Amino acid sequence: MNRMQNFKNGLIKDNPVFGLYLGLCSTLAITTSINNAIGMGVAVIFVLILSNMIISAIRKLVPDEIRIPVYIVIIATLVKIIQMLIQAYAPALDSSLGVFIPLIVVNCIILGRAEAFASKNGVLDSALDGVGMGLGYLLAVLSMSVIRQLLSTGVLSMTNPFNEAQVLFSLRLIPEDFTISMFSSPLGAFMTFACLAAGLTAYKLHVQKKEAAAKAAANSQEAAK
Amino acid sequence: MIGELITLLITSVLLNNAVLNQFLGLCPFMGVSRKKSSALGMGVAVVFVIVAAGIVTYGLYHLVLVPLNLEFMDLVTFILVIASLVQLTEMFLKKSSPALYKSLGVYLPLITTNCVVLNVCLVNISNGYDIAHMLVYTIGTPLGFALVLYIFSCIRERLEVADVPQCFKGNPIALIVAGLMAMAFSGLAGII
Amino acid sequence: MNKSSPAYLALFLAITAGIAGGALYSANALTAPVIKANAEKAEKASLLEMYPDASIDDFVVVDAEDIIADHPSVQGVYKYGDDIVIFKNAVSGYDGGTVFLVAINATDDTIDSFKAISNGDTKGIGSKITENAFAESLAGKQASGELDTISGATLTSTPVVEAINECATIAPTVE
Repeated sequence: MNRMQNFKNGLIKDNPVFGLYLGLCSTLAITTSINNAIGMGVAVIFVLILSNMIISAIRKLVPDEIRIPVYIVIIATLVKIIQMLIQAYAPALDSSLGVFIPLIVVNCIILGRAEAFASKNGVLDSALDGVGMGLGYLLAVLSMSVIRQLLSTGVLSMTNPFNEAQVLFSLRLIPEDFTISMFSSPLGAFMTFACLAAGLTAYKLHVQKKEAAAKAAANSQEAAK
Repeated sequence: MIGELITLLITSVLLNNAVLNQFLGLCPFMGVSRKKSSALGMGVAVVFVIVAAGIVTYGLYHLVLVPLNLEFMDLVTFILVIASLVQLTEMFLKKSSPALYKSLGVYLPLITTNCVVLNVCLVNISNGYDIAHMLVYTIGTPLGFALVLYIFSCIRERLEVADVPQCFKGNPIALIVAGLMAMAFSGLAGII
Repeated sequence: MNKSSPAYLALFLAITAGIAGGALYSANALTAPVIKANAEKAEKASLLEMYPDASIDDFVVVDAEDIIADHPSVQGVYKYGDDIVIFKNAVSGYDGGTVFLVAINATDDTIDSFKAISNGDTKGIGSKITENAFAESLAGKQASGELDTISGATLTSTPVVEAINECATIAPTVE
């Protein structure tokens, strides 16, 4: 029960990007297209699950003083392997994500979860936590990309990452003359992110108010009895 | 050559700014910018770490990794160098300026995960810079980061007392300000 | 051995780094050949885009080690037919720089064709170098003469134009 609740929290309420403000750099930089978002999201999930599992498995062996360098070496190794795999089998993704693939090493989400969760919990729990946080990240970057790609190019499209020439789908929803190219610039990135973060805050405040009202109602019913 | 270096300096500080154009170093940018003093301290610490890390990793890559055909170890060795340098900076600050050490708090060790540091080390290699270009880029980029961080903290101190809608309070409104700063800085593109 | 002693810590870190190195070495052995093959395929694809009627065997790879040593922006040299020398250049620009192919006719020093493979500079400004207009403006011009840069994108186009001038001096020397 608790596990499922943690998992659900990681998706929306404690979303690592919009709720905890981790992993901001990559979210703002690469979310100009859906391809980038999915490619990056999958890479982060992969690294997150594996690093959480490995760190959890060796948590009793690692001396406390050097745990951060050891975690960093493990994460860096995993990221380098992913980078080599992407360069070999999805080179289009490599050129569009660029330096942000190796920068997954310093993505606060991964080291943060390793420190906060994987070093203190079992392998299966850590893996689930990785999945939850990773999916939260994927959800965040995907929502940013959909908005930014739609508003700046008018088209929602995706190509096969392993075969650049193959277009999986392409929907033009806004005519070319009405696109707002601001959204592919840094200004648009910051604005979109701020509005989505504010939206999440508004949702959380709303939920809080409802819970407080329900509690107050229950209390007054108790008092009336 | 000098012209090229000056262009590179202006580009890395203002035109291709680490925070506003390349979207790097946002976590400390959001976290440390609530007070001017801590922003200034963080800026100086970051300049020091990046200059040291940039030079050491550049030397390490060209003098050790390339001759031994170990280029694929670049990520692991770079991040270890950065982590050690941050540790050294921490110990140095603890002794020489305990007040600054306390005000930076948990954000000092977090310089390790500051994207700007690793990015500068990686770009020095991937852009194939020679020593002169590498020095200019390695000094210019953190200067740009510190500049923007300081300006941002000045604005944020004012934001604390402004009348902001409830759901935008704190980080969201700060991000909108960052967007406006990005727009302002993009107007500098005509200098070159 | 005391678990907190510096010797144990250093040993643990060294073993971790060693295992990491081993994992990376095997991953590298697996992927490096694929990456190299990808790069060659992409290169051939761009050559064919410049001359769509040619077949891949018409392009002869020239041993360019000396040229690259003297001219660092050159990455590869190919010969097409008797007169055309194709140079692959990588120049820095505003941000990411430009990688491009330029085909120079060695006998009369004209630009036969130009193709920008990648450009990492500002979208809509520096990236104009990849558009047809720029390539068309270069076609037929003297490779060692004065070439027009893109107005508003001088930081991107000046290195490109300078590199083309440089290639014009190399072209007659290629076998």
